[in-house]
Amino acid sequence: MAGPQRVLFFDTGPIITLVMSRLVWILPELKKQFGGKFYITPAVKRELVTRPMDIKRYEFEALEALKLIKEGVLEIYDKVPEKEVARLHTLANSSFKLDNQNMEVVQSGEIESVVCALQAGAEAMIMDERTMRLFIENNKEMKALLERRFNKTVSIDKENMNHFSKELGSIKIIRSIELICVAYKMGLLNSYLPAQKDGREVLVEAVLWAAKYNGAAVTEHEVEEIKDLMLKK
Amino acid sequence: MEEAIKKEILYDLSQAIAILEQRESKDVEELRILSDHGIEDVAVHKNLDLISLTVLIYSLYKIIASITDKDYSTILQELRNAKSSLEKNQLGKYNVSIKVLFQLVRKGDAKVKVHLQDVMEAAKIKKSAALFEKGLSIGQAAGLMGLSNWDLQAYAGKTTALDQHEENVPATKRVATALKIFGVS
Repeated sequence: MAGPQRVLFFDTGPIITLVMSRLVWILPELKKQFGGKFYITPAVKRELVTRPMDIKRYEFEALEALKLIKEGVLEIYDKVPEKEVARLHTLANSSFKLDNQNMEVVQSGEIESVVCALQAGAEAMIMDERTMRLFIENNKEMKALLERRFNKTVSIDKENMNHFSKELGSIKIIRSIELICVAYKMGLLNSYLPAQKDGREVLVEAVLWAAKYNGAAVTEHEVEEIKDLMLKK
Repeated sequence: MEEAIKKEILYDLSQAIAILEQRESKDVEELRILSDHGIEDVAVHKNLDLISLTVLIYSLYKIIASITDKDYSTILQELRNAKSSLEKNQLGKYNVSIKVLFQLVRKGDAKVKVHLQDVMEAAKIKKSAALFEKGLSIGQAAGLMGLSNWDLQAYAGKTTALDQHEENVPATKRVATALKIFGVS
């Protein structure tokens, strides 16, 4: 008997990065390798396709994303638990206060993706969004981060903050840069290898920086670290 | 907001309101002259709020003759709201009014949108990047300025904004997780 369907959820950011880095073609190959479903939520589809269709600069990129949906590479997950999303949105955005005002640090669309991923039993969420990742993975750092950035004291509602992180904390998060690493390890990028002694190094460096310059959430230090890891024999 | 900037913005808003109090054919020319005055302020102060307002007045000059009476009244009311909010230092409300005014301009004429897109978008992208650097998510920062994630992500990738962040999970661990999920060694 077949086991439960394997599922991954995608946030908007990683797909934008792949489209803009001319790497979006790796997604169908990754999906075949994964052997399960790649889902996006309706909010992600809105930001990925509907909205940029009205912006001349990104209209073709929107069509590229739409092509993935038309071809079934990305599927729309329509069982969004709206009330749950609204509850967690309130919880997240009442966790931090600046000048006695709640700070709205995350959007409901971002929460929607993670809540749906948990509901569908996804193996991971593909997400570059650093604020959301930090909130889920290490909420203690959030207060320090906001205080550094705003140069003011930020007060926290510890109960709300911990409650939010606990509810969403079981999801594994990987970023667009890691998807590119998988593609590299699968040999999908081999056709780009330049015919030179250090060809692999050139390719890895080029593709990692292309992703970074197109919005992948990765620091310069990490690019170096990942490059070494990819080239390790 | 600096007092000098606030003073200039309040002046421009008052003038725009005075011009639009009654719908007349001379409104168009008067708005053009006011927008030229705004450009001088922008040159002196190089302030984004001032740039936004100047661009807004210029776009009003472009569309005002062709909009409906209803939209004309809405624009006038929203200018009054913006002025009142700024006088009370309610910057959040002021920004909302400016956002609504830009939406009305877009509704007015698609051609204006194309011509003004570069200037308007540049100002908004800069502002949303500043919000992103302060710790707001890309979606949140872009949304507040009426931009799409595409605009901000394309810009943020080419700045140091994404480097001003310490990752909590080591990259090597995330790569290992990804390879395991995809069954790649």
